[in-house]
Amino acid sequence: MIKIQKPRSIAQKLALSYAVSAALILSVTVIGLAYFETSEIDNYQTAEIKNRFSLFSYDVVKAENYDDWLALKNKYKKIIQEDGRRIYIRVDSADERYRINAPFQINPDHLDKHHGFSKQNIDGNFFRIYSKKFPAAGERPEVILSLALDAYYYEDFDQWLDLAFDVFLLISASTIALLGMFIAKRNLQPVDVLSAHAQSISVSNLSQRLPNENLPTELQGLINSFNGVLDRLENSYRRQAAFNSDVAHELRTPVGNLIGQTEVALSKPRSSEELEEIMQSNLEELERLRSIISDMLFLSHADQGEIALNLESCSLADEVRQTADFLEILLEENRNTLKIKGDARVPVESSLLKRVLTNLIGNAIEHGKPDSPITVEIKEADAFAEVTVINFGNDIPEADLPNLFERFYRVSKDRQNSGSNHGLGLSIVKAIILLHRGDVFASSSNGIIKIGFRLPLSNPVSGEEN
Amino acid sequence: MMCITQHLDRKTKIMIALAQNTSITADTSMKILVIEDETKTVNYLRQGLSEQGYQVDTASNGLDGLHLATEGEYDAIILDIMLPGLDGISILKSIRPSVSTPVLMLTAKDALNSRLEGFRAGADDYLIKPFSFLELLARLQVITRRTRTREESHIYIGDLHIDLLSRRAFRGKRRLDLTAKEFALLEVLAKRRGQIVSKTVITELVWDICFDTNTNVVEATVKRLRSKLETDDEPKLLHTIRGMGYILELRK
Repeated sequence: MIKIQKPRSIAQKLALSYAVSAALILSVTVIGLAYFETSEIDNYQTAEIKNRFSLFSYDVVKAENYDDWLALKNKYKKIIQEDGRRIYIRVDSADERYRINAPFQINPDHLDKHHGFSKQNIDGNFFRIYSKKFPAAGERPEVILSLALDAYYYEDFDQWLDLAFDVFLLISASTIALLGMFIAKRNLQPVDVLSAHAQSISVSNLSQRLPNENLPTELQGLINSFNGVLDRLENSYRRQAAFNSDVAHELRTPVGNLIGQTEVALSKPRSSEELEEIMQSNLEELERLRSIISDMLFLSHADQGEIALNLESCSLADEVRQTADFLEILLEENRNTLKIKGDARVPVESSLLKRVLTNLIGNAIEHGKPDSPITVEIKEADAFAEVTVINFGNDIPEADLPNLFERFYRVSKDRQNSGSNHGLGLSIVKAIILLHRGDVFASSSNGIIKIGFRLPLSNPVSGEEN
Repeated sequence: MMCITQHLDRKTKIMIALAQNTSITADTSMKILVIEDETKTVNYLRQGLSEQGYQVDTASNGLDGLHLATEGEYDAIILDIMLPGLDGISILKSIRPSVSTPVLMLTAKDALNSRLEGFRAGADDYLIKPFSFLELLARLQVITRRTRTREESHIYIGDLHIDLLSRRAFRGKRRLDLTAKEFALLEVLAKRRGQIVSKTVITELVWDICFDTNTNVVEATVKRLRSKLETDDEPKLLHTIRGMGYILELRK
């Protein structure tokens, strides 16, 4: 079956729920009131009919001989009209003389059932009837005196009241629905405003945010989250843009050298030794370009999660030892000693982790003080293994710390020493650690520089087999 | 040998292991087909491979390439993925399995997926552009399996004598006092004597590290080795080829 999903308005839904709840509550109230009113009217009528009955019963009790009875009978024989209300008197008796007829019947067996009360329809009108048995006295035999009192007035009132209740119910419910609709719409108005704001945000004004003032608290959470999303988008968009420009800049220097050098070389006849020299220099520049390109491709694959991880449980201390083995000669030349403290086993792709460690320890050697120890501290904290490379060196300015892992970011802005180092080392560290669902950190104080990463002890990333 | 680690099948890995323990010299009678549309690339590949003693045929589009690959008798095919007419993957799919010539794929674009696709279609190895010619040569030698599998226990270059069994090296009568890494480096260069060995290859073979390390480890180790290998009055053996790598040979 095809179900058509209509766009649902919150205002309409609220109004409908208000109306339904109001109708429910009012119905209960009205039913309660109606019941109360009915029983009140009933009590009143009972009292009224008993009151009238007592006037007649007095005569009946007193009429102990036939003469008295005849007088009484004549008195009651006609229909009694009072205040426009009709009363019928009926007397039933075993003796035919002691009877008074009326256009209704009494069932003597039911007298006890309702304390003598009953209801009947007489000539199309509604009557209440009260009957009572009087024992024989003097000449008079036992008689049953019944009084029928026109209840039309009350019934009419009752019906009218029911109708009034129904109308009241209907009007109240629809008023509440309309009011609810109005209130809901009014309170949801900020949503429309926000929607208009959101629609106006595009790449050209990415720094615009949704206004958070004068908003209901319920919406503030949503708006904060939405603005958070915008923050992150803007950030990565700007980083992307900056990255593109950095890439262009980074490539411009070697390409410029290549063009210039080659032009100079070709502008005059050269010996083959000279040409060889120039080509070797060119090759060095080209090698630098190749390295930048391959690192950028690596980062781009990592960003897109296209690098399949073959996770294997590894001892971090072992990985550090193997990396130190590779870097041994550089440690020696810089007279650094490498200490490894602690260990933890984590699921990692060993070759990627070695790249991380080579970059971090390589940095510590390159930028650290000669003749000083480098410590690699490994510890477990919560669900993570934390690896910190600690070395002595010039403090990294506070402002640079958050950007340390950004692409092409260099602490010293001069591009000295950028021959082998093109500013992608730490961003590759970060990319690899993020691939492993970990995070990176850096701190620097009093000449002690700590750069490291955390890796989950059990990795949610499953190794993809191709 | 090269860092192609996880994508290689077992056979290739065994082959690489073999190549690491044997002297590597190109068999001069080998015929190579280059299917590549970029003229400059074709030209330098032709020249470079010819100078290394290979016979080189070229095709500049997919259809010619497919024709030559099917009809010709080649020892290896160098195949670009992006080609006019018919792309590299399709060529590979149509020649496999009837033609078992080893294929080295060249990929330029964001090629991670096409690389995997290439392996599925039956490529033996791949290179990502930009690549170095030395690397191409090294891989070509691995996939052609025509490398001379000569087990050596002693290597002599001039008055340098390397005893691979006892892991000792002598310059004339002088015993060289080498660390394990320095000896491993000497061994790698000696087995490829007369050939340029790139820093990438050295890093991989000596330290088993398969990524751009951006460090001076190789330079520093070569410097140490050289200081022990060559005194001032001895002929130079270990030469630096700027921008490319190192070569161990006695130059007249």
